[in-house]
Amino acid sequence: MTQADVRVLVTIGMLVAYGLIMPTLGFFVTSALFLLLHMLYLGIRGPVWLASPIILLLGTAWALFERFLGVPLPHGLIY
Amino acid sequence: MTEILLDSAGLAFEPVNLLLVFVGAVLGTLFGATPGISATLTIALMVPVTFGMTPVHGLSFLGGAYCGAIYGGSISSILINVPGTPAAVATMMDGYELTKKGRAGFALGGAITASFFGGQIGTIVLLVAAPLVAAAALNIRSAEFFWIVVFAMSTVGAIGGGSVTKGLISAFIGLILGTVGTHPFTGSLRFTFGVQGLYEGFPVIVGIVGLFSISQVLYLCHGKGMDKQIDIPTVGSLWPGWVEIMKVKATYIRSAIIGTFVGVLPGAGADIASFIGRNEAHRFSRNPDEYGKGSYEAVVGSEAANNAVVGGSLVPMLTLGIPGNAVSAALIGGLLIHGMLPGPRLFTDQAHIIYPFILSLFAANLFFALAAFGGLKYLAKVVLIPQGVLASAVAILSVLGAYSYRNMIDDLWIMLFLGIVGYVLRRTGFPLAPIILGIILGPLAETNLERVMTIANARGMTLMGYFMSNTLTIVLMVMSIAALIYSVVREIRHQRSGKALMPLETD
Repeated sequence: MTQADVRVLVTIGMLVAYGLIMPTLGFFVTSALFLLLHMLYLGIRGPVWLASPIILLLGTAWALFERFLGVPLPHGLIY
Repeated sequence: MTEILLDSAGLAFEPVNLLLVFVGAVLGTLFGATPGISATLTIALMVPVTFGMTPVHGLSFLGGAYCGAIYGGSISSILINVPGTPAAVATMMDGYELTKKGRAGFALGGAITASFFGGQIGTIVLLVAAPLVAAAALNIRSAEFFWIVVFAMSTVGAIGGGSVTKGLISAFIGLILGTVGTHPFTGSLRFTFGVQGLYEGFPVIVGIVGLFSISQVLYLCHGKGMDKQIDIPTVGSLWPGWVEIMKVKATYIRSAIIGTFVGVLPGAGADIASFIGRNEAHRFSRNPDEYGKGSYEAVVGSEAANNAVVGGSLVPMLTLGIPGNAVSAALIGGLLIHGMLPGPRLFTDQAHIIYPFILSLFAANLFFALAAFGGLKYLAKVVLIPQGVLASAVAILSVLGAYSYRNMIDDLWIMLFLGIVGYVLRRTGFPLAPIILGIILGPLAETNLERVMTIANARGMTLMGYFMSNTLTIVLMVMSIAALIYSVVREIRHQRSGKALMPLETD
């Protein structure tokens, strides 16, 4: 079981956790949490590299699905 | 016919549609240029984005992304010796050599012109051939369709990636996964294990997102250099000049034709097309010694072929529902999301959607070329994204794609399950594309086979007797057996010579 294999297992675990948490916290919050924690886990550092993907991805998803397409993504306790 | 084309041109080339094609082409190029995101993955991730669009808009956008992604892979292949997509692996060999010699722009320009030319040729063939095939397909009966599907599956072994045996096993795994769901005739549930989301079988989009996207996320996480960044070499002028282009005009044409034909074959995709294109260019080349050391001709040979696959792959996909490669399989999801079923009826009942889509591909090829010539410097920056960011981002994009299909949480679990299966299979050397082929074609084959059995029974014939009573069926049976025999021969030859086989990930 190499370090690399551990990374894969942890990722699977995080995705399982995502599936379990998403109905409660909604798409945006859960995704932001996943992105942040997963990137940190994989060794990404620096506020720019951490924040930009989150803002870009979720911002575009929000604008696209909630605004333009009118197909809302699941919301949860916080948003 | 001219009337339909004129009306369709009006729809295809109206400003909003063109804008969507352009955006699709640029996004496709960016995703394609990103190492770790294949063209198949690009389309799989973009399909849900087209949700709220009209069918013409949605398909045109996806078409733009398809063309752009297949081209885009060449950018990272040439600049940093890492293929952006499997379709661009063959381009790496000479493309990067040119970059090392300080002629990156020359190679990049070759890739742009070749991709543009190949793409347009493939689209022309699509426009001419598809209506003809569709018209013929209207007369195809169950027995013939069954054997077409069987033939399609058997080409997987003959041409597909990796070991032939593993390719066929993958195809069978796909067939088994395809049985999950409601039995087409009796209505009983098979292998659903109480999961509501599986009542209609594995949804194509969720299947592709899971098998290709999540498995890729896991694959990326397994790799090294999660947080590293790479340097991009400086790029000079992109335009190769007419002299250079004319020197290898035979290669442009030959590769485009090769790519179109390889695209039509269900078992082979853009990656294989690019290898064949390059190899044939080498065979007919006046300067064969240049190959491997930085040959412009080699880059053209590879890139013209892979973009021609776009048009070629859409011929069987649109007319018969049999995808010509993994990307067109993902595009089936795009059709389904807009309430369309691939098949000959597309060209009769939904001609007002399909023809504009095909015409928009001409614009798509033009747009990625223009975007590349104008802004390659900026597009290329996408290779700077660290793998770790990519892995996480693709994971969330996959979740978005899988969930937005029908807002069922079940789909997330299905996606994850298939992702793990796909990852394990990739690590053990099994190609993934045949699995998707099996999932899509399995139910088709079964439905038609049931019909054939019913008919044969009613006529008092045995199954074999019924098959032998029709010339076309006999021909297809022979072709299928021939393909399988060829696969076995190829496998034995490869095992003896120990030569490296084709890449496992495919476009």
